[in-house]
Amino acid sequence: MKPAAFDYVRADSVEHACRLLTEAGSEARLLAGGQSLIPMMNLRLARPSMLVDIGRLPLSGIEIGRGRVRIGALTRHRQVLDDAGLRAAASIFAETYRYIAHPTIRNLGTAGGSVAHADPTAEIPTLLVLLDGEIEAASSRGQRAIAAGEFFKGAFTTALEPDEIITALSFPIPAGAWGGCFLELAEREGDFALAAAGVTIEREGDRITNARIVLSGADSAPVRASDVEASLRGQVMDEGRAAAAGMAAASNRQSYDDIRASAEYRRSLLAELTSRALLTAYRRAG
Amino acid sequence: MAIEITLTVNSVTRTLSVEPRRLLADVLRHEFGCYGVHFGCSHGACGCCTVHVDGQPRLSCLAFAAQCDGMTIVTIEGIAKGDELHPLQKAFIEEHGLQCGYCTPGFIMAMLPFVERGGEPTEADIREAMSGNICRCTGYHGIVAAVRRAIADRKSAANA
Repeated sequence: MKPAAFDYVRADSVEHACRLLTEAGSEARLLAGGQSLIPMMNLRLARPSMLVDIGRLPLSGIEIGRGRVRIGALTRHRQVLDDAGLRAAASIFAETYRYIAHPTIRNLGTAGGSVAHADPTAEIPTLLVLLDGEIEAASSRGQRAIAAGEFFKGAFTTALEPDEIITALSFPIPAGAWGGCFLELAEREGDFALAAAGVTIEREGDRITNARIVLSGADSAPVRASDVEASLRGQVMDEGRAAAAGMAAASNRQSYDDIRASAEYRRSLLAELTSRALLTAYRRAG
Repeated sequence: MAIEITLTVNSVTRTLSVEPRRLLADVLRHEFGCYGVHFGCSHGACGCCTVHVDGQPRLSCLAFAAQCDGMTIVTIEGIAKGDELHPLQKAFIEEHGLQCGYCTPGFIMAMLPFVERGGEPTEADIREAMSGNICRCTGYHGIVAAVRRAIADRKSAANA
């Protein structure tokens, strides 16, 4: 299996990459870690006329401060998993990232690449929506920040314009007592997820003051269970309430059938994963 | 349009002209004669093509040679010292970590840094570390045993 022919240019700055994208039009694609794009090119599901290699640009690194975590677009999954400061600031990052791909792929795959690719069950998009993060993007026209809730439009479809390049991801970290939990099931460790659920809970004493629930595998992009989130406000969590909330979050979801699982099975998985994540996040918020 | 790149493969440095679409695995096999680099699935599921790029395991079917310009690559052909096999290669033989051998170079290159890190990995740690590699013959028990033996041999050699 060999990819179709293409032109290759290595960008030496973000500005250079933006200029190349503008000049090349919509047939050009950015190449970061390549761990999603190259398989698609090998299978000829993607046939870009030009690749702009941004792999060596200085867009890598993790900053923690002022209630936010900022991850550079070219930060490798391995770097995020190994970052002790991030683990101390918010354990949900490592908990989510350990589901991403296999160890060898984590050495190359990037945060920005995963978000731009927008696989329906990719972990970082789900985490971005869960934590209400932002995607920072640059183009020849300037820079902008896009809210995660507005960014993921569907499978492999985002709000990114063809001439834009993601430069960083930014996540707010809740201030008070909070807990998070991310749970996923795949056929084999590191494979594409069948379904996943991310939850954050903020508490005052035993009462939930704020809950967020995001489902992956329920639709063609991560979805929030806003009605269930609202129903949990002011409540105390227990097993019965978690199970009911999980069922409510998963019911009536479109989901999808594929070679790995039926939509019905995915819904039952989502109910169980959400229920367990709610209990764990609630406990961690205490 | 071909472009010029320089690669150092198993201590040999060469500058060559390649089409951008040529995968690193393809260039390693056909330009450098490293036929131990095996294509399995070509989409990142099997791990057969694992090599080290600048010291880190990487799937050579998910990299264009052009991306690796100026980088140092080690393949399965580059880990023995002359006729003396690497301890992990020996452990695979001793523990029946291979049958047909097609996946073996990928397993060894993926697990080498894990073995060299040492420590006291559990069975689950070892299996997690090799989760990106598929073997259709052995059932994995022999491979886990080989990795465990290589770590133990390394430790006793260090203490000797």
